[in-house]
Formats: sequence, C-alpha cells, structure tokens
Amino acid sequence: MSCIAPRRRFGVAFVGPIALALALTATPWSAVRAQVAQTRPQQPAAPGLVQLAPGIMWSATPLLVTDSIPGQHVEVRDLVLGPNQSAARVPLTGFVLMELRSGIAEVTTNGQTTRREAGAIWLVPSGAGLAIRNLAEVTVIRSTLISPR
Amino acid sequence: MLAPHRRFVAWCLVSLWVGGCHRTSRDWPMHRYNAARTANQPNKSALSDPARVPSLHEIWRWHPAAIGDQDLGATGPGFSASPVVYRGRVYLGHLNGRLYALDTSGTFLWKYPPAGAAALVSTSMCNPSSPGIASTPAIAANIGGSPAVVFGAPDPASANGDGRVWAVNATTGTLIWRSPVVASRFNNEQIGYDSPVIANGRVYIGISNHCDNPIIAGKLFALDLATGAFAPGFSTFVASATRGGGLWSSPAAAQGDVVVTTGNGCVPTNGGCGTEPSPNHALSMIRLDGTTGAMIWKFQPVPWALDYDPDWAAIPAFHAASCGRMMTAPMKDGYTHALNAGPAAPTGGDPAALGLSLRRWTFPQASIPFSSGSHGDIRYTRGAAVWNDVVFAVTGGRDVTVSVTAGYSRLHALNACASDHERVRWWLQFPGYGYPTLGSPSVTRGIVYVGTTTDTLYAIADPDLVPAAGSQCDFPGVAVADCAANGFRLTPIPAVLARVRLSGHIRTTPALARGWLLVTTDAGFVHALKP
Repeated sequence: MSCIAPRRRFGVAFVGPIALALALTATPWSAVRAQVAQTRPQQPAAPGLVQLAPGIMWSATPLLVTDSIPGQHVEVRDLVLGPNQSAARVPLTGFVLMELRSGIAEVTTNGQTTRREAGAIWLVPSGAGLAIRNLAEVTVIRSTLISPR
Repeated sequence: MLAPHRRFVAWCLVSLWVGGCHRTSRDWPMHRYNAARTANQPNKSALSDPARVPSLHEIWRWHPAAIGDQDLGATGPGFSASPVVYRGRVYLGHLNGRLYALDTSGTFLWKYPPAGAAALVSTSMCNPSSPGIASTPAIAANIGGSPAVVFGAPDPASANGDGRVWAVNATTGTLIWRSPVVASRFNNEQIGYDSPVIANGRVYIGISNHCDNPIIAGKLFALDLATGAFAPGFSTFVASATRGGGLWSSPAAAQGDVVVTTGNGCVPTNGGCGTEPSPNHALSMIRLDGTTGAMIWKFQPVPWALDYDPDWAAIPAFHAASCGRMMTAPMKDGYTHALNAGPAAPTGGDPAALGLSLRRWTFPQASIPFSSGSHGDIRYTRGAAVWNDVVFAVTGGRDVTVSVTAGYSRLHALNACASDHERVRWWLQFPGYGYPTLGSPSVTRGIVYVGTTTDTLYAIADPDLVPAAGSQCDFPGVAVADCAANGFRLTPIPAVLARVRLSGHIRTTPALARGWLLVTTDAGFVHALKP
C-alpha cells in the first residue's frame, strides 16, 4: 500500500496526455536550459591550485602550516605538473622534503638530474636550483617546506 | 527503414559480437540491469527524453510500515539492496529480512517469508550488509514454468544466519527452492551485498564475511537454476589459500564466463598472515570459466605488500565499446581500471600475467601494478554504468593523489576508447559529503541517474544530448584560465535536467524500466518517479 496518494498513474483524460505530449515534444532547448540552470549542482568556489612558476602549479593554500618547531616555519603543499609540462625554475625557499605521489618526474637539483617515480622521497637543500620535468600524464609532488623564521 | 523482424535480425548480428542474441529488456530484471552489469537501459522512454526529464517527480513511495513491518532500528534501517522490475512488478529485499513484491502503482502484493514466518535475518549486525537482505534480487524467466525471484539471504533457522540462495515464485511469492548453505555463519561468512547473476542455466553468487572479523576466503558458487543444487562440473572458486579476497560486490556474466572482483587479502594486521598466501587472489578482477570455474585471467593492480584494505568492492561492468569489449570497475583506492575482455577459456598460461597484459587503461593514469602510494579502505565502492564508449563512475579524479576522497562527491564520465590525456569526458561536483556522497549511477541513452547522501536523485544529460552548462578544467581545482597553459583540457559541465528530493540517503542503483525510475533509500522507502 502506498504511503502517499499516487499521483495520476495514467492520466485522467484521453486528451490531456496527448496535449501534454505535444507540448513536451515542442519544448524548445531554451526552456530546457532554463530548467537546467535552476538545477545545476555546485562547483568548487575557488581554485585549489595556482601557478607557482611557468609549467608548475601548487596548492593555493598550504595543506599544513605550523611555526611550532622553534625557529622554523613549516608548510606542506602539493606541486602539480600537467601533461608535457616542465618548470625550469621552481622558486621554493628553505629545505624541501619531496614525495612523488603520482606520475614520473625528471628532477634536476643543482645541475644533477634524477628520474623519480611514484613513491620516491628526497630532500632539496636550501638555496638549491630546482627544475622539474613531468614524464607522465600528471605528476604530483607533496612538498614539506622548512625555512627559518 | 527495415521491417521490425529484419531490424531484430540485424540487431542480433550486432549483439552476437557481445555474446548473446536476445531483445534488450524494457524492464530492469537484475542488479545493474543485466548479467553484464552495464546499468544501461538502452530502450527509449520518457526517462531518456531530455525534453521530458526536467519534469521528473515522485509518483508514489512505499515503506514496510505500511503493512506493519518494521525497520531494524538501531542496527541500521532501510534498504541496502536495489529494486528490480519485471512485468509490471517491483521486487526488493529489505534489511528487515523480507523480500517484497509491489505493483507499479505501489500496491503491496506479497512478501517472503510470509507473515507469521521468521524473517531472513542474521544475528550479525556489524554493518548494512549483514542483518537481513542486502542482496539485490535477479529475475529468472522460468523456473518450473514460472518466473522466479532469486536472491541471497541469511537463514535464521540455520546457525543463526547461514547464507543461502532462495528462489521464489514471482507471481505468488511461494518458495521454489532454497540452496544448500553457501556462507557458513560459523566461519563468519556471509552473502551480504552479493547479488546473484543468472547465466548458462546457473545462478552464480559470491560470499564475503562479516566485517573482516575475522577475514575469510572469498568464494564463488554456481548453482543449478532449476533446483538450487550445486552445479555439477563447477569447481567453487576460492580466493585465497588461507584468508582474504571476499566477494563484496556481485559477479558479472558474459560470453559464457563469470567476472568477479575480490576484496582485501590476509596481511599481518588483518588475518595474521606474516607472508603472502599462495595463492592470493585478493584485490583482483578475475575472469572464470562459467562451466568449470577455472581461472582464465587475473588482474591484481595492488600487490600484497601495499594491501591496506582497498577492497575491490565495485561490481565489474562488461561492455562492448567501439574499440573492443572490456571490463571496467572502480577500486576502493580511487582508481578505475578497464581491461580487454581477453580469451573466453583458459589458455594454459599464467592467468596473472595474462590479466596484466589485458589492461587497457587506469584512471587516473598510473603504472600498474602499483609499487607505492596509498591503497587503503577508501570508499570507492560504486559500480560504473556504461553507455556506448562512455563509463560513468564514482571514482577518484585526476587529483586523487592530491585529495583521495574528493571524488566521493563527483561523478566522472570517462571516454573508454580515448588516450589517457583525453580520458575525462566530463566531471560534475555534487553538494554534500558522504562516504561516498554518491550512490551507484544508472544510464539510459545518455541520461545518467544517480542518488546522493543529500537525499536527492539527480538526472544529468551527457553533452551529446543537451548543450553543456559551461566548462571546467579536467584537473579539478585548476582555474579555467590556467587549464590549457598547464597542459590540461577544458571539459564541458553537463546539464542537470532534474533533481528530486527523496526520503533518505541513496546508496543504491536506480532501476530504469518502461519510463519508471525506482530507487530505495536507507530511510526504508522505495520511491517511484516518472517525468
């Protein structure tokens, strides 16, 4: 048994459904669009990634930021390189602990190039020149930046 | 224009390529629509007409309380199973241990077990898979001359909940047969969410366990459709030498074979295995010979060393894309894998090597098998729906290693035949937060229906049908202005044609039958909607 009254199963009159069908088949796309506009789900309000340097993006806001280590400022951010992207100069300050979370990257630190694959963890010394080339579809590097306060 | 019978012959020639020659059902006779589990209603109806779908509204709703039956209160009320529809009737199992039959006006017809008989419940109440009927039924067109409803459920008369398969007359609700025990309560086994698939004159069903406490070896059984007895000649598939590999999803069937996905394996922290069991068929998609049960291939993307419980809990979908037949399923860790169907019989070679060689793509793109990364009990458990060359999935996005759970609230449309770079057809963000937020999608001729934990049922039109509502970067979180400059692609935002508020969280699959949409909620209602 229904808990609410069934609404008209098959229409109450013969003419009504035909008229309704004709009206619906004649519905212009503009009318559909108007209804669509009212039912659009939400989209992310703000970008989560912003440009760090040509070829590389990073988290718009840190995933973690703390000054609880005496004399040190610590931030965690994700670096993202899209398809066929390379960053000749990655402007990060302080020591950086990097974890390649997905993709494959060619990482050049102070002129020395190393191929890094998902799961690799390495340290970039403070002040080192850093370049990264993405060798996969997308490369994501989680970076912990440690700099003196 | 071909005459109808010639059109059918032509259609058969095409469908033979997939594996069978039969008319597609306007009903929704089993979990995910068909044995291939495509969740794709191919027939035209009001639900496939983008001009009519915006008027989608509720026609009726029904709750077991209408006939005096109760939810289970503190143990988690409502439906874990999805409805099926066959010849003007709706069949659905409830966690209270009853299978109900309604007509399409929402009038109660019968229940099994009938009033006065004990409900099919277990004494285990650990999660929404365990207390009653969580198994979506399947319709068998003919058992002993009548259509039958086949489902898995605990038997309270047998060790407080041994799992069996039941076949009930679809017209009268009387029992036709009850299978031998397939899930031993003593061994902590259960049928749970596993829904039977009917093919080759057999019923195939898998088992898992109650909340991994303790974990047990998953199994796949084959039963004779006419009698419910174990099918002769079929060796029960066992997923592990010791423990692990539970079949938390449901088998798919095509081309005479069966495809399953398996759950987590036995590891030091779960099951007490200090070394990898041999064999270990956990965390795998596996194709089995439907006659003998022999393994044809096995695809295991997450190796034992990285097994932190990323069960492969989503049902595999077998589909015929323009680039070939493939099997696709999201995995709990947020990655979706698509494999070529491969051979239909054992080759004599190494099934694991063959399975790895059949991988067509992984989304987001990754090197397989994984050698690192987080592969844990993230909740990507929904099966994908497939339509033409498009896979609709609740899966981690291109940013899965940035935010592994962000995909809970997104529906992705993936191009099955494109390059990795063009895999994302579109994606859509939904409001709310869940575990995941979205239920399992269904599709009919390019219009996708999906429910959410905000108690809302959505209808979304692929941009091939209705102009897009805008565009966004295929990498979530990247602004449109930065998208192309960073090598990403702008993708359309599909139009949402309708959203209808219902009674509770929608974790299940909407059934799309003859212009009706039937869907269950965890509030214990089944809702019927039409445009």
